[in-house]
Amino acid sequence: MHRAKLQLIAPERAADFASGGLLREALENIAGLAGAELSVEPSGNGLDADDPSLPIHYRGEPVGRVMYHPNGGGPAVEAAARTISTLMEHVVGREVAVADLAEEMITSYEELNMLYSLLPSIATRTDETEIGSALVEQAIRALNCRRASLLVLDEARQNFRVLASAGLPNEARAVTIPVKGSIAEHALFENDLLIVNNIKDRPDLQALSKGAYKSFSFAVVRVPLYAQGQAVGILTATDRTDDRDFSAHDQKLLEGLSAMGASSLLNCRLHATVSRQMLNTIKALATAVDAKDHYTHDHAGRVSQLCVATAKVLGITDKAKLREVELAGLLHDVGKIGVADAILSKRDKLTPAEFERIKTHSEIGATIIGHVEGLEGVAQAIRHHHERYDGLGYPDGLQGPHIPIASKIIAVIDTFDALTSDRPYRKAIPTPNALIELRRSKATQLDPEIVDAFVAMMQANKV
Amino acid sequence: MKRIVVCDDELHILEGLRHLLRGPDRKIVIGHSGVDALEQVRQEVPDLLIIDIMMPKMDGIQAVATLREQEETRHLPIIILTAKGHARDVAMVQEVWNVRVMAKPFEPAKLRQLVAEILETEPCTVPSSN
Repeated sequence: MHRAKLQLIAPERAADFASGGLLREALENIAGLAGAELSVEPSGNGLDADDPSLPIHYRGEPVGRVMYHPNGGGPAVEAAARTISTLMEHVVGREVAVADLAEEMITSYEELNMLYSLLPSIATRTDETEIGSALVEQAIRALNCRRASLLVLDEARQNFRVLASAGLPNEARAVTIPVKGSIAEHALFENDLLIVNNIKDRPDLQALSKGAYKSFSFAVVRVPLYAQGQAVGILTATDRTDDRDFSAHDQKLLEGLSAMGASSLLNCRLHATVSRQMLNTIKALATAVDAKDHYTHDHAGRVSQLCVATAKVLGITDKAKLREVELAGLLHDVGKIGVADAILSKRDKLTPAEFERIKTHSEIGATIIGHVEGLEGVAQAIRHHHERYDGLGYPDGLQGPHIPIASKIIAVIDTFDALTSDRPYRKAIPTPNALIELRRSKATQLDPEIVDAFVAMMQANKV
Repeated sequence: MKRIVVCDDELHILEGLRHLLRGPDRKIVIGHSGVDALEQVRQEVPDLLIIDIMMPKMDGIQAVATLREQEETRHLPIIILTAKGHARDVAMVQEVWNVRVMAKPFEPAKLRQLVAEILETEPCTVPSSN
């Protein structure tokens, strides 16, 4: 006698699930009790199209079926088929739920990883534009958009300028946008976040919509920069690559990005302010020395600039090092404050005792600057700016490679500037002659490599 | 049809990976420990094994060690998943046994790409005799 046949046609994942293990056993038992065989198929082979079948539903839609060939088994087979179809409906429901959860988890992982990678990369940056670029790149990725930009208010708070943008043509970056009458103004002063998925929903904004906001969906979030809650910037993302609307979830992401951006940018600005104040203070100090030593008007400024230029020609690119050279150039003579005016402006030849007094200015300068935290390198550069390549210099008699590079650069430029300036005892000599004099001091007083670089630079620029 | 064996004692990771790596040309088989991993591979050598380190009964490192000792699985492409804290130990393992390593929580896009690369460019696990 033929056994009756039950055939389960299940949707893909459910079929996998039902093709082995405990569920399969259970299904087979149910079939067996009704005297039927069970097969699990992802497609509809093997049973007559006329055989009766029961659908498996998901959300009211049929997604699979149980076909059965009664073959004498009668109501028992039908009952088994019914049980199996009910059971499989539960399985399909759970499988879809699991797939949904898996999808959520993957999305969360993507966002987590985005935050993990973004935070270290912007937390340590001190350049506003770099931070801005990192933010807009992430905005594009996180929100599946084509375009994003970070606008910041200018000093007068009347206009926005573009700090960074992604997906916009280069011309768009140089644009200034007046705050008044712009869509961004809404986000700045009225809402924290503006999401518009279809500009037609907001006729009040339609009139303002121009340029980058012409697409149908955009999100705008305020990037607050001050503790007082005063906003100074806008992060915007527009033009989705998928067909979805911006959601509350996207809002959270943008808020997260903007919070990260705000603290980094604030940090950056504070850093820049402190740096600038320090530099201004130092320039004031250098000017004070210049004023005292009055035949070297603006000597410090000139020396500093030429030192930095020479350092670059020598291939120094490290910003901190260039800074050190710049400051040491400005301050190399600050120690002259400790030397009597009478000696500094003496027209006649100096006595040995007077000469010794002048030599102390390197050490005095280093001591003065050594008190300032963070300027230790500058202090060292000042201390050794009168060392000689051949080791016969002062105060420590250091030789060639042991002399700090900033000091050796200052030595070259200081010598050059002295030659090309009027002195109490002689007039300035012309630049070409001065360069020849420098060459004569190679490897004795001055570092040969630095002399060559400086001379080449001066001849190329005819400065 | 490419066969991928995925072993992790955490169900949500298993389901996550099953969902992430699904494809019409792929069959994904799961396991919950190093023991399962060895058993699945013994039944049929897969095109790729993705295995977690921290598992009960037998951890991922032991399983990989065993597989690398056997001729048939010496060249089996393996991706080890590790919670971030273990990265340093595993970096050592990476060189010695020629496995790839991914930290958890993994970057979905990166993992998907790595799997695609492995399945497309690497030949069948047993090198054919030339």
